[in-house]
Amino acid sequence: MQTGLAGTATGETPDQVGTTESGAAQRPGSNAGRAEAARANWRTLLAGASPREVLARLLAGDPLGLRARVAVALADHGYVFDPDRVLLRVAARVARFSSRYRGQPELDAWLRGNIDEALLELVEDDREGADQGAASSLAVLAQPLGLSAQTLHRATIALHARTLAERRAFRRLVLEVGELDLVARELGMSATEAARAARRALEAVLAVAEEVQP
Amino acid sequence: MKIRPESARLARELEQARAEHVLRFTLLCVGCAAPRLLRAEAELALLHRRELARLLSEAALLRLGGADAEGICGEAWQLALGDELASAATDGAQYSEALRSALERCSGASAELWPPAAGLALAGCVLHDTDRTRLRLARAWQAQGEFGLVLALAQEALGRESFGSSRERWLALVAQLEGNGEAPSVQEASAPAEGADSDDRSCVGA
Repeated sequence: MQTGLAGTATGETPDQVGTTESGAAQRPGSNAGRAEAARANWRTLLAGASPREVLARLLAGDPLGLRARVAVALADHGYVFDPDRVLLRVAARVARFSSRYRGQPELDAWLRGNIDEALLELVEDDREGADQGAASSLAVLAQPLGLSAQTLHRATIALHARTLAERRAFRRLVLEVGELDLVARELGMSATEAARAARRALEAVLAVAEEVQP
Repeated sequence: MKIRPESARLARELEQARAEHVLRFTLLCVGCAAPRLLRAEAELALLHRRELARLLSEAALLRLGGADAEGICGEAWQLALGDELASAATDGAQYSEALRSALERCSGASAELWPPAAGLALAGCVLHDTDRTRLRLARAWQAQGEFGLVLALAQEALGRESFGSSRERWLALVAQLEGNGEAPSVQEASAPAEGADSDDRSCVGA
């Protein structure tokens, strides 16, 4: 199971997604190549069919490169979700609203908007306990950490309630063990601020974990 | 070239194994893909339900009118309802007769002719139970003078673990009820909640 921790669910770096750089775009199997093809053929994929039919098209080989786009968005927002859970939600959303898409805004921007909306929905669902199966999607990640899936799920809810800066700092410094100065530059803050932001998020996560598993 | 019997047998076995392999691989792919597609379709169904719930709970605010309806464009709402119903229909969504009738009454008619706001809000809540739909239901009940029901909803919401800003909204609502002298005691608040709740549900049939 991909955990979405590294933002590289397909093994490609985020900046390769949706790029039009000739080298990447010419590789038919690459995400960038797929994204380029999708931009040219979005009508074939999204138009003239029911949402269910579009959904089946989107899941057959991921022609829009949604998996890689989801990985990028997860990293940008500092969220920790099972990427497959996000991917299915995003695919359903894109399929549902495909009939409204007329080529504007650009496909990349439109897809990103749908991914961001889907992520917000998932955060809200988790906060309100609307998705009963949400915790089980984290079972594979929870086991090696010595946590129950439920505890990890609650910890992610606590994390997702933190500010964007805290989530991103936590993700890059704690989960991905990034180098402090480098991460601080990436996040546009001082090293002290980045470390403090990560610590605040970590404390929130640990508070939940300790509360459930003393 | 003449093929020796041994080679022919091996060739046959190889062909048979290859065919079996292809079959196994196909079954494996189908086996992997089918549950995933089903999960994705469940997400799609959830999306339809969520969208309809949002529309119903916005309909409740439009039905209340005044400040509650500010920020919701009636025309855009009608278009969104039409789009959602058409899209859900192509995906084979089924609604109860009462909900279909309520939606038909909302479609194209002026808001005064719609079902009561509390009924619409409750239908939205039943379809997708979130703090947002509950807050709108509370607002509709408040407008209807059902302060006990509002307080019961607020107490339930405040009793739950909450990470978001909705806790503040519930507290503000309770403070508003208290400020207006509309908040009865806890006993009074919880007593009529169940009966009135089922009445509204049967009224909308969601």
